[in-house]
Amino acid sequence: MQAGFLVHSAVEAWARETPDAPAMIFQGEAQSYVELLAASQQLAAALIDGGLQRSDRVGIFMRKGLALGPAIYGSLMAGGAFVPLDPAVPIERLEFMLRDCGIRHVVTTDAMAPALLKLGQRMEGSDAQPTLYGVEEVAGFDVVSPTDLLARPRGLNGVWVTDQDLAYIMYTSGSTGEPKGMMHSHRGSLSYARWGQGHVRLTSDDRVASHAPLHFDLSIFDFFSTAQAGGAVVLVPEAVTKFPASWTELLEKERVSVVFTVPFTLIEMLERGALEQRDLARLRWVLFGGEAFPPKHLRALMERLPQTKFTNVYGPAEAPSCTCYDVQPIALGDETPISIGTVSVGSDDLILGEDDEPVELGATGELCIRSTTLTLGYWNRPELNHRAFFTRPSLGHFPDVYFRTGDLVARGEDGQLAFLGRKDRMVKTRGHRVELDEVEAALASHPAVLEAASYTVADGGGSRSIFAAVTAAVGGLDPGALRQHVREKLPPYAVPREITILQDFPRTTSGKIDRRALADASPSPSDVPRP
Amino acid sequence: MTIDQIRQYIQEELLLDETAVIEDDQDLLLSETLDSLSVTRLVQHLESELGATIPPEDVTLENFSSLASIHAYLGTL
Repeated sequence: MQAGFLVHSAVEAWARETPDAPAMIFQGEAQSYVELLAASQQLAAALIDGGLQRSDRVGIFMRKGLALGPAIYGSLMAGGAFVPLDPAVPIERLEFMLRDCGIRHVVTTDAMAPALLKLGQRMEGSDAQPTLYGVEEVAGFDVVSPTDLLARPRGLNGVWVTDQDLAYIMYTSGSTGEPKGMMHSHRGSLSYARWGQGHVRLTSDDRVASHAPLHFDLSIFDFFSTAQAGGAVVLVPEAVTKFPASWTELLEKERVSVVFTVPFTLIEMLERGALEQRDLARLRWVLFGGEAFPPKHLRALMERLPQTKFTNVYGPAEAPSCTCYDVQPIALGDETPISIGTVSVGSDDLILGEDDEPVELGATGELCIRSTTLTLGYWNRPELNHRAFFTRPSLGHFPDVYFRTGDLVARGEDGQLAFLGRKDRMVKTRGHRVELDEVEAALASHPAVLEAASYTVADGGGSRSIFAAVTAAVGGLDPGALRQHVREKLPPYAVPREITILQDFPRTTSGKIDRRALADASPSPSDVPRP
Repeated sequence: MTIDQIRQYIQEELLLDETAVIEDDQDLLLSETLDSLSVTRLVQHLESELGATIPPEDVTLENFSSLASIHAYLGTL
C-alpha cells in the first residue's frame, strides 16, 4: 500500500488495492473499502457544499453502525476535524460542546432524532444551530438527508490539507466541571495509528473489535490502526457491551483477532462471559489501558486464553500510547502492579520532581511526555495549555514540549516504568501522605474482592478521611476478613475508615469507576458522632 | 414472576421513577432504560426472588432485551 501522510490516505489506498475487502462490519453486515470510500466522499462533498472550510469542526453524533466510518472519513476528506459526541450525553453538555468549539455541521442518524429534537428546542432562535447530515427531518434544523448524500459526486477536488492540520477534537468526559477538548493533528493521529499497527503487527487478515465508544480514544486505534493494515473493524453494538456473555459470543462469531479495551470489560468477561463455552482461538492480541489491571484477574484471564498476547498500553488521551508493556507470565500470588513498560517509538520521557528538575534513577516523579502522538493542546483554553505543558529550550527556534501527565512513576533498574498513581490521588490524612491507588491495590489483592475504589471525604475537623468501596467476586465477601487483610498490608493511617460493599460501582461513560460520585454519596463523617 | 412485577422493580429500584413508561416489548437497552450496572442488579434481584441461579451464559442481549423476553426466559428456568 502506498503510505499517505493523512489519516484517510489509507482508506483511499485500500479502496484501490483491495476494493472489496471488508472495512467495517456491523451485526453481520460488511462495508467494503470501496463502499466506505464512496460514502465518505459523498459526505465530504455535501459538507463542502454546506460551507465547511479547512479545520472546521464536524460533530459525529450516532451510535455504532455502518454510518460511522463514512462520518469519520468524510469529515477528514472534506478537510474538517471530527468531534465525537457521546450519544448518551446530557443535552446541556452536548450544547456546550457544540458552542465551545463552534460546530456548524453534525453528522447523525435518524435514531438520534429524539435527542436532536430536544437540542433544537434548547437552541431555537440561536445562530449557532448546526446543519444535520444523514437524517430525513428534524424540526428546527437544516438537514441533508441520506438520499441527498447518495446523490453527491464521489470525486473530490481542491481540498488542501497538511499533516499538521486538525484531524479530531476529543472532549474529556466523566469528571465534573467543563469538558475540555483535546486537539489532535493528522500527524499525531497517524503516528498513534502506525504505532498500533506496528506493535500488534496488524495485517489485512485482522478483524479488530471496536468496543470503546468513539469519544474514548481507544477507538482511534480501532479505526485508524486497522485502516493502516487494510483490516476490518468489527463494530460492537453498545447493547452488546453490557452483556459479557453476548460480547464473548460476538468475539467468537465474528472471528475477532484483536481487542483494545479497559480492564473492567476483561474482568467482566472473565467473571460472567461464559468463557469456558467459547472458542476464542482466533483472538491473538488483547490490549488494555485506561486503568490499572489487578494482577490476579489478569493472571486468571491469561490462563483462560493461553494463545493470546496481552499488552498494557499507557497514555493519557493527550499523548496516547506513549508507553506500553507486553505482559509476561504472572506468578500465582504475585501482586506487583502491572508495569507500564517503556516509552513507545516516537516518544520520550522526563520524570520531574516537585522542582521541575529530573529526578534520580529510581526516584518517584511526575511523568512528562514528548511524543509524535501529542495533542496540539486544549481547544480555546490558554490558561490550561500553559499549566499542562512543560517546555524546555531546544536546539533551534522551537522548544521541546512535554505534556505533564499528572501520573507518578519511578523507573526501575531494568528501565521499566512503574505506575505509582495519580499526582492528585496523593492525599494527606491527619498529616500522613497516602497514595489512594495503593489503598485500592491492597483491597483488590484480597481474593474475594472483584474491584476496589478508594476516595477521601472531609472529616469535619479540617482533614480528610479515607473511605473505600469494593465489589465482591462470585461467592461473597466477609467484611471482617477484608479489614484484617488490609491492616496487614497498609500502615494504620492508610486503612480506610469505612469499607462499603457495593453490588456495582457508578461508572463514567468510558467505563472507569466514578470515584467522585462515590465520594459525593458518602455520608460526611462530620455527621457521624466521633467515638 | 409476572411481567408487571419485573416492570415494577425496574421502575422503583433501578429508575427510581414509578411513573416511567416501559412497554412489554420496548428495547430496554436501545432506549437506555437499562445500563450495565442495572443489568447486574436486575439479575441479582431475579435470582433472589426466584431462589434460582441464572447462569452467566444466559445473561445475554436476547434474554434481557425487553420485559417480554425476560419473562419468557424466566419461564425456561
